[in-house]
Amino acid sequence: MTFPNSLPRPPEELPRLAAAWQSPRGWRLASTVKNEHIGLLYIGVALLMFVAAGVLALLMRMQLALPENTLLGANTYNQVFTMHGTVMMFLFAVPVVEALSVYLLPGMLGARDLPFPRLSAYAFWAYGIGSIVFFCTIFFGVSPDGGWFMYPPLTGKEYSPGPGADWWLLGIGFIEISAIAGAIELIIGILLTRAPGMTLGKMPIYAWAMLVVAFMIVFAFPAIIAGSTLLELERLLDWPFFIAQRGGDPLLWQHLFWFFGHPEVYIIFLPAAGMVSMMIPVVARTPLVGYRAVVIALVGVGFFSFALWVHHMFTAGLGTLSMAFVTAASMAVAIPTGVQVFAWIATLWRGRVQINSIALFLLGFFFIFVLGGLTGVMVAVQPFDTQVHDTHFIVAHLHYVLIGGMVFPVFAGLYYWMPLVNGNRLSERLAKWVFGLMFGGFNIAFFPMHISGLLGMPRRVYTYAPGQGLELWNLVSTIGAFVLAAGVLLFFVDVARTLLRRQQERGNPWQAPTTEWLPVHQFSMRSIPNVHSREPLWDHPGLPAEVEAGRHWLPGTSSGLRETLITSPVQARILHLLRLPTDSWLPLIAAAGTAGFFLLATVELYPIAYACGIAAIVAVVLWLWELDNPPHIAMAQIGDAVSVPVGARGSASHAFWGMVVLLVVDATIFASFMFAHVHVSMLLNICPPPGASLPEPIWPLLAAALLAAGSVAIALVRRVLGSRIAVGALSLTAMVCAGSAFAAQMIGHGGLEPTADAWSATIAAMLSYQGLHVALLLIMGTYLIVRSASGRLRADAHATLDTTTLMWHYTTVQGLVVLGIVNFLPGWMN
Amino acid sequence: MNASVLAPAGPFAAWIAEAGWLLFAAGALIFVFVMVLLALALRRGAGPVRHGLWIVGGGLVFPVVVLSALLAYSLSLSVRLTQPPPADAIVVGITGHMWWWEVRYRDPAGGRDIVLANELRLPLGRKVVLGLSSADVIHSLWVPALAGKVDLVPGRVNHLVIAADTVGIYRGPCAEFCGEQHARMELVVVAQPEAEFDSWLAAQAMPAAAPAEALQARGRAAFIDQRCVACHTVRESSGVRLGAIVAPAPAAVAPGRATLDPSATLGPDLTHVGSRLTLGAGTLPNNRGTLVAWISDVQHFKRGARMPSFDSLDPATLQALAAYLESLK
Amino acid sequence: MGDRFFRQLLQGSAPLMVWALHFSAVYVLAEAGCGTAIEPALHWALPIASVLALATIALMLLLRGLRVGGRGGESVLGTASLGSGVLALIGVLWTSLPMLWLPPCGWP
Repeated sequence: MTFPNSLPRPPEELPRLAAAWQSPRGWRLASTVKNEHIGLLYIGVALLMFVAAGVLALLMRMQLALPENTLLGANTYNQVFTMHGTVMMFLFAVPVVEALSVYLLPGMLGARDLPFPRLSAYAFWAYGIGSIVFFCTIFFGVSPDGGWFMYPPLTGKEYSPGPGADWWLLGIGFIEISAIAGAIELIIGILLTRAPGMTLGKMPIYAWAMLVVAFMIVFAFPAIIAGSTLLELERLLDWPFFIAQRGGDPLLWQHLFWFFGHPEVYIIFLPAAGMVSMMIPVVARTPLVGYRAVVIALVGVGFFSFALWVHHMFTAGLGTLSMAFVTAASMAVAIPTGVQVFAWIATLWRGRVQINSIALFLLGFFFIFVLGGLTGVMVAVQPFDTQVHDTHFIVAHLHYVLIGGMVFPVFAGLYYWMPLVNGNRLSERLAKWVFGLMFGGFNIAFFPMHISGLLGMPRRVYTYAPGQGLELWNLVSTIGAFVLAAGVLLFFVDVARTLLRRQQERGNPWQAPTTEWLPVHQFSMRSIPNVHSREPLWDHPGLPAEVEAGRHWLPGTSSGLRETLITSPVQARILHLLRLPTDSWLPLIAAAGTAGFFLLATVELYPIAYACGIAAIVAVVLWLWELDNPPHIAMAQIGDAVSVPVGARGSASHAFWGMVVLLVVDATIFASFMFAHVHVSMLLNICPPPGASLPEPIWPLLAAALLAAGSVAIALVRRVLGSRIAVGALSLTAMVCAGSAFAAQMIGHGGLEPTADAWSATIAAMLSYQGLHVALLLIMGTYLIVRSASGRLRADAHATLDTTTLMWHYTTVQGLVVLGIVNFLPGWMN
Repeated sequence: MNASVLAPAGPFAAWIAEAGWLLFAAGALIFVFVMVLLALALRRGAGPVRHGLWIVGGGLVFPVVVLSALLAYSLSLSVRLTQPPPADAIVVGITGHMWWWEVRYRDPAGGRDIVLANELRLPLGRKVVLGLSSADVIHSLWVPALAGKVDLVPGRVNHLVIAADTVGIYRGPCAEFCGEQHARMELVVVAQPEAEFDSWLAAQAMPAAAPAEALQARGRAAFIDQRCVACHTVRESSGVRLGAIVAPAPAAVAPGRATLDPSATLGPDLTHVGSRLTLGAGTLPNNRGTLVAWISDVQHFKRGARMPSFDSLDPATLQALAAYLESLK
Repeated sequence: MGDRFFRQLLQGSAPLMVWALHFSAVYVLAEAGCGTAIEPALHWALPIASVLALATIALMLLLRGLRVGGRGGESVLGTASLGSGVLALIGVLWTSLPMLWLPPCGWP
């Protein structure tokens, strides 16, 4: 067998590799961007949020243990349940599955790190700071209290005048940046940084799951970003999107929220399903049955989940036929879920299962999740749902699918992957107790809620009257909740003990098949493996030794910096060498600045908020300045006889595609604003409504022409890279065009009064979004000119230009769509 | 008072309850089946697996067969439950407020609106169409013993057809989180034989009884002096309407969108409050003592309610007020 | 990138995209069409949408069968178009079922 690299390796290669990946010591570790550290921090904060929100749940259960209890007043209880749901869904569930992917995926894919390490550092710190500040609102009694779903008009300014709703809208809103950043990281990482030979058909199922999830995030999260923006604009500026008396519609929020909210629960479940697909082969000691079927099932769930959102609105008074379509789609999603369940059971059937800590939690997952999935099918039946919607039956259902479908697999995963942290395993003996308490406690807590819901107990009630038959079930639920909590507590005691133990040789304690179990050091693997099967460590038992000896790809560092390989998306053929950025304080500063801006704006401390925002922008600019460098050499040697280009330009560059993904998110956010406009337009009898009017045609036409001209100008820059003057002139021209196009649009809408009615408000929202982009273009254009003037914009280093050009064309298209929709929709609808 | 999905007292709830039992039975069977498979799978060396059987048979064919049947059943249920109501159905308008229910019947004799609050009475065996809207935030009307729930959304008029076939009193807790006292917003639904219903409705259509005793007369005077009339209406036979019309006319809204009736008051209509079974939308039973307690300390029972506690009133005035209100049967 | 990634992505997921288009179309028509000028058209527009969608997916499966032939789906993306087609077919069929029993615009 020939290896990419022969032995012996040059003596300076290993120390040089180690030096490139050295992490700072002590408190300076906060400037790390390595996925192993960021991943652990991320998982840690997410688990902290889990415990914190769990404590809130215990408070709720204590209040509900007895009828007419006075432990928590109505106001406090409403804040507590709102925070419990919000923190669990936004600050634990999605972050923990993203955090696990940050930690696990590069190893599992045979990459040294994620493709945008500073971006994931930024995402983590933004999330970390934001979530802790957000949680602290409960200590000051200013938490949101309108439910995690925040329905207006209750959460509008009139009925929720306090800052709670703003904390939610701004606090949670900006944390979504982390989710989007994670999605970009995942798509680019999974498609472009896999080990050579790891074709899509050989990729671990968990990677497939995260790929599907990342695409779902790209299409689902924009709806809540747009919705939160609209509600915050309504609260702040009185733009009446959701106020019926002025042409708005409370259901508009529900559509936006649930279009995000339903895929969100699959965004939470699919990573766990992916983890289950990794762990079942390990406990059964046989490969997964039906790999291809499971992949298709994951994609199927991804698609179908976007059609289900209206089943959260089954009682809102929408049409019977359209509700029936949604019932059909809600049942359809059960098929790919069922395929996975049967694939798992078949794998267990074929293998020889050893019941250990991992297996116990997987069994718990099966029991609880299948039960929850079946109640899910029940509530898909719209008539039945009209009885149990908004009752404790649904509380039972959602906890069965979320705790069963995500928490139990995550706990199994923590038992499974813990040795990756410091070589030590969690205690098998304690695991039985943890499992028993958690499994038993969970069922005791939540099964009775099916019954109390059917007996007439609605959701979100701070108390209930005696004599309805609810006392027993509520008391039992409360006892179960504490048993569950005891199990969780015991688990964390074990985690603490295990993490405090000395670092050990890890080996492959579970005899696992995938590459995250290769020997690793601070530079991850010594060499990037050639992969030829789905279970590399089973089919190729010598692989760990070979990788460790440096026989596979890139056993050192070509540039003296951190590097990994870019491979093709389907076949994983080596394409080029990727130089990764080093540790830096800038992502942390930028994240703190971003957090500061949003959080301080919530309490209306505007001067400091703006200062934070500016600090964030400055930090980002400095951070970007260090990137987009020409290759240190044309070709880097990664094997005895193999050299590859260093970096790539244009559409071969991973940064280009990262930008493309970002623009898809951008377009989806814009599409959500557009949907809002179309939705409120459809409520009017005539468009525009009385008092409002469309612009004189000259202005939209002028704006369209200027937008197009700007795009042309920026597109030409590519051809004149040699001349700084030409670059500057064209960029300036493009900026003037973009700016004046927007000015023309605004002049055309001179009479617009967003507070008058929802139609005008939605136009204002679209214009604001366009304006935001134009401002961004002005910043990017200026940066481009400075970059060129300093000589850093070159034929072999023009990622700055490529990304700027992409954003430019996007803004032009968006601008044209705004012009089209605003000016032509009324004619079309009348 | 009954509030159970599984103890239906009307045809619609009965169909849904029947569906519920079917769903539980089927769900339980499938659950047991999957768990048994799982248990069998855990036996050591259970043997080789045929991909086709498991993936296509178990994962595809099995759910498709079961769910196709379920979908057909669900549709047949939807068809039954969305039949247009008969022409002789009674129409009642219900508007949700924070945290009480405004109920409007039509007077069969005069065609006028009969306005009451927090209680809905139904004649046995007849369909009643509820027109639902909201004056403030989203609420949801849910009478588990009689039907599924429908939301009350500002700006929309939703409809719920309801019917009872068993005499009884049924709870209707609000089922959409609507703020601080969402938990204390219960509609009381009474199903009675048609003749009793007719006489009840006729009584509700009558103006308020004039005070028969001095204590009640003092109570009526206090009702006016203490400005209860600022929020509550009492219709009297002299043509006088004790009560302010305080809701401003809504801003221009496109025709066809639901608007608030501009003669709505801030608080429940009390013309026949004495005839109701509860106070405060299910918070307290209705008697002289609870009336006193409610008026003097409403914030203790329902903190955040729009009505202030009249805790500075002396006991005599409170007794008078209670006597007056109790007399409004 | 030379891998024909986008082409394979499209081929693998095309049937599900047809399902998505069909669902969006019938949902929007049913929800937004009642009470407007297009209401009478819904009686035939919705079933036609379903027939078109089913035909398209069937065609896609047929073409895939001809293209892949007896080799079956050895690669993931090869099986993807088959699985995607099957799921999409069931999805469209189930979505269309309600049209047989429920009128496009009910009472009120």
